[in-house]
Parts: sequence; structure tokens; C-alpha cells
Amino acid sequence: MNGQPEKHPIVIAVNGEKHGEYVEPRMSLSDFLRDKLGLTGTHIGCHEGACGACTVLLDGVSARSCLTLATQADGRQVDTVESLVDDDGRLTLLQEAFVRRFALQCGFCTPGFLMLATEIVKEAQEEGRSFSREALTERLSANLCRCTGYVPIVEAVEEVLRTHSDSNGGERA
Amino acid sequence: MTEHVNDGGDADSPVSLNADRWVRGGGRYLADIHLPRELTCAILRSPHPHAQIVRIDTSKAEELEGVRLVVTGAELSEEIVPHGYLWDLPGQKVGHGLCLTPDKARYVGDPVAAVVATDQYVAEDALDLITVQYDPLPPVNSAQEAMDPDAPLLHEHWGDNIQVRAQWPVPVADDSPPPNVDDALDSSTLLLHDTFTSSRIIGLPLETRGVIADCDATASNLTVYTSTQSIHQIREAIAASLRMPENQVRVIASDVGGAFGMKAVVYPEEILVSYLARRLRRPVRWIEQRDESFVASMPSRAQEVAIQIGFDSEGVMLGLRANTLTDLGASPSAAGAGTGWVTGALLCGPYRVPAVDITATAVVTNKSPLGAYRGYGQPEANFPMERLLDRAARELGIDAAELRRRNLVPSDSFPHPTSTGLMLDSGRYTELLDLTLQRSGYAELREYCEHARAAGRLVGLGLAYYNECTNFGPSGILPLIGVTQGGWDSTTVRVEPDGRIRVFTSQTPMGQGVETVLASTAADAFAVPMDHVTVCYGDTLSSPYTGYASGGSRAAGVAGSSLHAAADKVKVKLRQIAAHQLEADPEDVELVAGGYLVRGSGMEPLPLEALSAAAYRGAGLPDGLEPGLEAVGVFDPPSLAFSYGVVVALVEVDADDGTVRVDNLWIGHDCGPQLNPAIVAGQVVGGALQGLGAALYEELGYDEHAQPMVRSMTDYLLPTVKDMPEFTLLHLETPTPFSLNGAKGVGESGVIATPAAIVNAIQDALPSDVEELTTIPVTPLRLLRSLEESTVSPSKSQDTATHSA
Ligand code: FES
Ligand code: FES
Repeated sequence: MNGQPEKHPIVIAVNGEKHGEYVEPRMSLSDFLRDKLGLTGTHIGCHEGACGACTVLLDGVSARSCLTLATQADGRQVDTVESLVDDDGRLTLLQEAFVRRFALQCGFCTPGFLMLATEIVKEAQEEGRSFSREALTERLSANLCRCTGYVPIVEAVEEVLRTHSDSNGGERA
Repeated sequence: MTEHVNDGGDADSPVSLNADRWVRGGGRYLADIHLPRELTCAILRSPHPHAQIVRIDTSKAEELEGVRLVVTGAELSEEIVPHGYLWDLPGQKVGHGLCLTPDKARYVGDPVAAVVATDQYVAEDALDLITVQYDPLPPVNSAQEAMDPDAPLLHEHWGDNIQVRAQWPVPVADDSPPPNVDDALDSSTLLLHDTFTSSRIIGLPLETRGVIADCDATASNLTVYTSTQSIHQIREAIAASLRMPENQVRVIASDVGGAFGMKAVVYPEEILVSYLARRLRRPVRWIEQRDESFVASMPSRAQEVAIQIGFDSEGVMLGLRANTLTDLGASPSAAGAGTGWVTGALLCGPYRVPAVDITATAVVTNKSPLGAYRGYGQPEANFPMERLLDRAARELGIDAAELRRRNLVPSDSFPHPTSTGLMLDSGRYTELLDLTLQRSGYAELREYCEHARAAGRLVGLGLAYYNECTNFGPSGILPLIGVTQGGWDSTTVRVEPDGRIRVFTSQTPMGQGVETVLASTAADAFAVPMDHVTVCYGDTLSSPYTGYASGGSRAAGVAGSSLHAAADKVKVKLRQIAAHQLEADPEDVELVAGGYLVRGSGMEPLPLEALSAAAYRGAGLPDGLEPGLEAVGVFDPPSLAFSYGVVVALVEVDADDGTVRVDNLWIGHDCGPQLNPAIVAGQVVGGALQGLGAALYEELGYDEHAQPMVRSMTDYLLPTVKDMPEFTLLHLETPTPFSLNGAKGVGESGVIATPAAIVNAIQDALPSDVEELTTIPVTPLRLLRSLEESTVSPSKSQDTATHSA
């Protein structure tokens, strides 16, 4: 076996900041975020696309960062759970609802669910989509939680969807 | 039927101490930790279920750039002492207890060699370069096969494949002989027997395991980060295996991303990685990969129970005989033998069973070693009992709930000694049954199901009653049942110089919310707001001692009581200081919100910070009082505490594809006073969904060559959001006399009876000639097979079916 595979230069805008790195072609986006940038809020539950703990937004669309190669994100925009709070550290309505409703126990699945739900809430807000319980559970079934039994997670997301549809109001709590 | 999940009300529960950090992505789970100069370890595992290791060639791997060390089992067997056992039943046989097998592979996944390299990618590349010459042996595929006198032996020196046997009733020398079970069964009107199987499943926390060991330059001090429930047990094991004093080993559990019993006891990797770090004098990390976890982490259940129960004509149980058979996998783990023991000891559940004859047998097979998973032997006991009770009800023409009522331990009989030698502490079993039946609309639901079935739908109702053994202890009894750790817990409470409070707990949070419960307990004890309290945990350097640790649902009752004991000591001192400063008798001084005052004086209370300032300055104190404000509280429960409950399930079966939809679960539950109702609800609901997974989906199957059929998360079906039933929780609060706060545990409640309730409901939904469902999970395949044999199967067309409940 001869040496390390060749490295490729990439530039990814992560949480609004550009990062240039040389990476091996086989490096996953999740490893890039966690190991190169120290953004450990993106969790690895399986590294095989099954659990959704690694969900990030890639150009605004939810993606499993363990199945995405870092090189595939070259030139694109990635948002992780660390991007959710505002500059003053205030939580979004979703984060608030997760805390208040105990939508997390061990917290390991939480970043993935928050990113998935952020996308859902954004669709509701920007495209005026409404989500029935069935449509919502269909979407949320992309991610796994082993602790909560999902009930408080669904309730937290529904609460935020309701808030938005009631008030069409501000983003922050 | 749309009642909100949390009947206990979560309005006033303080929210989780850690949640705010976690929603920001600020968790510090094991893999998030990186140390300077760290190396990464990867482990080569046997692809054979049973094979002699003839030769291992590591030379190519050693040559790969970035590889620092390759070790094999033979080499390490000289240097590492075999690990001990948390459950060490009388007469139990043991395996090699080493981190890498020295000579023979006994399961697919058995660790054979380890590589240390610059990163995970290089380490995995190096694994591919190790060549091992195996001499395959015939595998033992099942527990039944293991019992065969001609079966291949896993551990030749054992002479057979039986690890241990336990029996009940336990003979007590100076007692009158227990009631004869033969007489009891002979005199019964109805005698039922069957064999029930709880398949091999796994806790599967979303965070895999992992270990990072850091050794100082002198190789004398070791710090080990590991994702565990039991820091002191791990410290003891590492110290013993590496022949180090315990005061030179520090074990830290950072945020734990779920555990469920699967992280309860020591694993080979914890010792291996510690050894490697010490040998290399560099930090070494090992992060379990998900595919690896299905063979490297401990599964549980894997038990068959052959059970026979005799009833009188009124449906009252007269006697029970059972043989349980646990498939332990290859080498007994530190916790393996305990599950079968617990099943045997708790087989009678919440019922009076006057005569028993129970034998629990555990055997080894060529599969991954069995360990703990939430419930630990109790779901395996509940499933056969609750299935057979349903059948008895049908055969005797008695309603299933009524039959249970006739057998439940009556409220006026507590404490109730069981026929297996345990003491049920307290409860209102029948009252909770009535409450749950009434609130679920049980009678109407029965009618609803009948109508639905008449219309061709397979709708069924099932219930199951359970109790949950919690507040695991006491220390004096544990050695008698083969447990090698103490059952006591300790907590340190310190009032800091500024009057704020720091709690040091021996318990390790892993999502069960113990840190939040303890913070609010401390806040109440000192009449301060909860944000005046912080809780420290997960570090043997600062965490007080616990032996059995965070298992056995003991945090609220045992650790909570030790917090009370510690707080009381500190408060005695605070009161003395306050009395001194107020020039009053300590008896006349009381604690109110805001501080201490003279009772009835109407004065402004002396705030905690004024008293603690004096305590730390060491001036302004009563004569002879030691400065400082810190105390350790210890609690050893005088006896176990049994939570209990009843689960009612409403399900619908799809006859076309064999799938089951669980529409509703009503769960009546009593864990004594709920220290935090939202956490209780979370534990029950989360546990129940795991129970649903066990009932319908989860199985770690092995093929006929003892090859594991699950090697990735896509092969192991976990419940998703779509499986979430409508939950209704109902609570009674009956304190246990055996803890200071009256609290009992709740961690395992949801998971125990949910499978039986669901399967009882499925059976109820099916045509009456469908044979008894005796194996979980009831997969679509198993269900379709059962349905095929029915002659009165409903029409395959589902045009009459409308899905509503
Ligand atoms: S870690 Fe990416 S889906 Fe599980
Ligand atoms: S909170 Fe633990 S996995 Fe979801």
C-alpha cells in the first residue's frame, strides 16, 4: 500500500463562513464538519444513511452529511445546528419548543431533528405549505430517535407550525 | 381517544438541565472529544462464528504508513488480567475474559487483533492488510443445540455448554418447605403450558460506544473517556486488568447519547484501548462503527420460557412450573447471566402464585455475548405470563382483565413476599387496573373491536400487567444473588461560598434526566430556585462512589435518597450557623424561601450566602463547628421497590401484508411520587415505543451458519415516527417505604409489558383458530404464516376497512 490518497481542494460556506481545505476524496461531509471544522453538533449515529442524526441543510435542503462527500459540497452552502441561534445566542422557536416539551432525552438525535424540522418550518413559512399530522410524521420519519418515543418531537414541531400559521410572526422566541 | 400524552401534567416540571446546551449542538459526546497527539484504534473481528486461530500475519499492516502498532490476542494474554463479572451467580462458569481472543474465535465479531494508526481511515485500511488463518469449527447455533450432549463445545474445559443454572424456590434451611407444585398443578381445573420466545434484540443507543484513553508521560496515570453508565465499575475493571491502583485511573463519562443498559458493564475495548494508550504513552481513541456495533455491543433477551400454569375454575393461579433457557452467546459478558436469573425471580410478576418450580438455565452459543437491555429479564418474564393468562381467560370464559384482578396481589397484603423470595414493597394493583380500564373505556373498546371484526377488520384489544423491580439493592442481599457490586449510592452536596449549591452525584445521566431530578430535589431541599443548583457527574475524580451505578432503575429512589441524606447534614450545619448569628436556639430556627429565620419572628430571612460566607471564612461560627459546607450522604435501600402498571393496546392487523398498526396505548403506572412528571412520562413513552419495536420489528437474527443477519442499521428495524401510537398515561402515586423520598424507579416500566399487551391485542384481532403467537417480534412474515393456517381468515379484500380508532 503506497501512502495516502491524493487530496482535493474544496471551499464550502459553512454557517455563512467560507472554509477552504484539502480533503481526501473519500472524506464524508460529516467528518469534514466534525473533524476539520470542529462542528461537533452534527452527530454520527450510523454513517450509513439510516438514522438522520447527521442531517444538515445543503443549499437549504436537508441532506445526510454522512452520505454526502465533502467534495460534493464544494462551492455550496452548508448549515448545521450551530447556525440556528442568532448572534445574541437566542434560540429559534423550534429549539425553544424542543427544550420546553422535552423533545430530547439523551440529545443525540436532536441536531438532526432540528435541521429536518427547520426545513419543514421553512417550507410552511415560505411556501405556505400546511402539514397534516400524517404529512408531518411522513417527513419526520426520515430520522430516528431511540429515547423519546417521538411524541414530544412531533408535538414540538406542530406547536411551531401552529405558531407560524397563527401569527405568521417573528422567527425568534 | 385523543387524550393528551401526559396525564401527569408537565406544566410545573423543571425542564432538562442539559437541553438548552444540546439544542445548540453543544453536546460533548464521546466522539466529539479530541486530544492532542491522539491515535485511532480499529479492531479486527472474526468473520467465523467458531474457528481455531492458526496464524496471524500483521507484517503488511505494520508497514502501512501511519500505522503505529498492531497487537494480537496471544500477545496480550500475557499482559492483561481477565475482567471480572457484575453478575457472578453461584457455580457460574467464565470465559477467557480478555480483550482479544488468544486462540479461538467464538462468534462473528470476536476481537482478534487491533491496529493503532493516525486516523480511522488508515486504521481501517490496515485491518484489511492483516491475514488470519482460521481453522473453522462447527458452530453452535441455538440454545437448544447447545444443550445437545453431542454439541461442539465453546469452552472445552467446561465439559458442556451450560454456563449456570438457578432454581426457585430457593431452599431456606430453617423454613417450612415451600408448597408442592405437583400437588398444586394436579388440583387445578385448567392446566396450560406453552413455550415463549423473546428474540435477541439490542438497546441500540443512537450514539455507539467509544473509548478515548489518555496516559501521562510516565505511564502511571490513566484518564479514560468512555460512553458508559457505570464509571466506577469501569475504573475497577481497567485497574484490575492492567494491574494499576484505582487511584491512578480516572474514568470520565461525558454526555452519553443513550445507553439503555447496553453500556452498563465493562467491555473488552475499554481495557484494550487503556492498555494501548499506556503502552504507546499517547492518547488512543476507538469509536465503535455502527456496522461493528451489531456484533460488538451486547444484545439482550434471547430467551425461551417453557411455562406451565394451573388455575382453579375461577381463574386463580394455583401453581407455576417453568424452565427458562437463555442464549448467552459466546463468552459470558460481565452481565450476561443476570438476565435469566431476573426472569426466573420475577416470573410471577405482580401476582400471587402460591407454588412455583422454576429453573433458569443459561448456555453459550456462537453468537455475540449477551448483556443488558432496559428491562433486563423482566420483559422475558412478562411475555409468557401475560400471554398464558390471556389464554386462560379465554378458556375459562372470564374477561382477561377480570382474571388478572383475581390474581393480583391485593392492596392490603403489602409488603408481600413472593414465592421466589422477593418482597413486593407497596402498591394498589387492582385500583390501578380499574382506573386504567375505566379511563381507556375498556368495555366499549371490546365492543368496538367486535363490531370492527364483524365488518371484516382485524382489530384487537389486549392488556398486560407488570411490575418493575427498581431501586436495585440492598448491598447486604446482592452477594446472595450473585451481584458483585454494592447497592448503595452516595451524593455530595456542597454549598459554595456564595451560597450557590453544587451537587456531585454518583449517577451518570444518559438521557434519563437524573441530573434534572437531582437539581430540583436539591433546590427544594434548600428552598432555592433551581438555577442556583448545578450538578456534577460522570467523573470518578469528583463523582461520589456507586457500585451498581446507573442501572436497575435506581437513580430517583436510591441516588435521590442519598441526596436527601447529604442535604440534611449540610442543613444541620446551616441551622447551627444561623442560630448562632441570630442568637437563637437552633430548634427555633427554620429554613424558608430566601434563607433562615427565627420561627414566627417575621424577620427578613438570613440568606444562604451570608451563612456560607461565614462557613468559608471560618469566622462567626458557633464554637467548635468545622468550617466549610459540604457533606456526603449515603443511601443503601433496605429493600427493593416495585413500580407497576398495566398496558392496554388497541391494534389493527393488515391481513394482506401482515403488518400491525398499534393505534393506542393506555398505560396506567405507579412509580411512587413522581419527582418530575415530564421525565416520568418521557421514560414511560420512550420505553413503550422500544417495547413496540420488540413486539413487532426488532430481531438480531443469525442464519443456519451462525452468521449474523443484521450488520447495518438498515437491517435492524427500529420504530419510526410513523409507529407512534396515541398514548394516554394514567398515574397513581404509592410511595415505597424503602426510600427516603418514597420514589421508585421508572426507567424500565414502559418496555416490560408493552410487547405482551400488543401481542395479546394481535391475537384478539385474529380469527379464533389462529394458533397462539408465542414468539416476538411478530413480524409480517410470522403473522402471515399464522394467518395462512387459519380456515376462517377474513376476506382478503379490505374494502370494509376504514382506519379509525
Ligand atoms: S449518521 Fe448519517 S444517517 Fe446516520
Ligand atoms: S433523544 Fe436520544 S436518540 Fe433522541
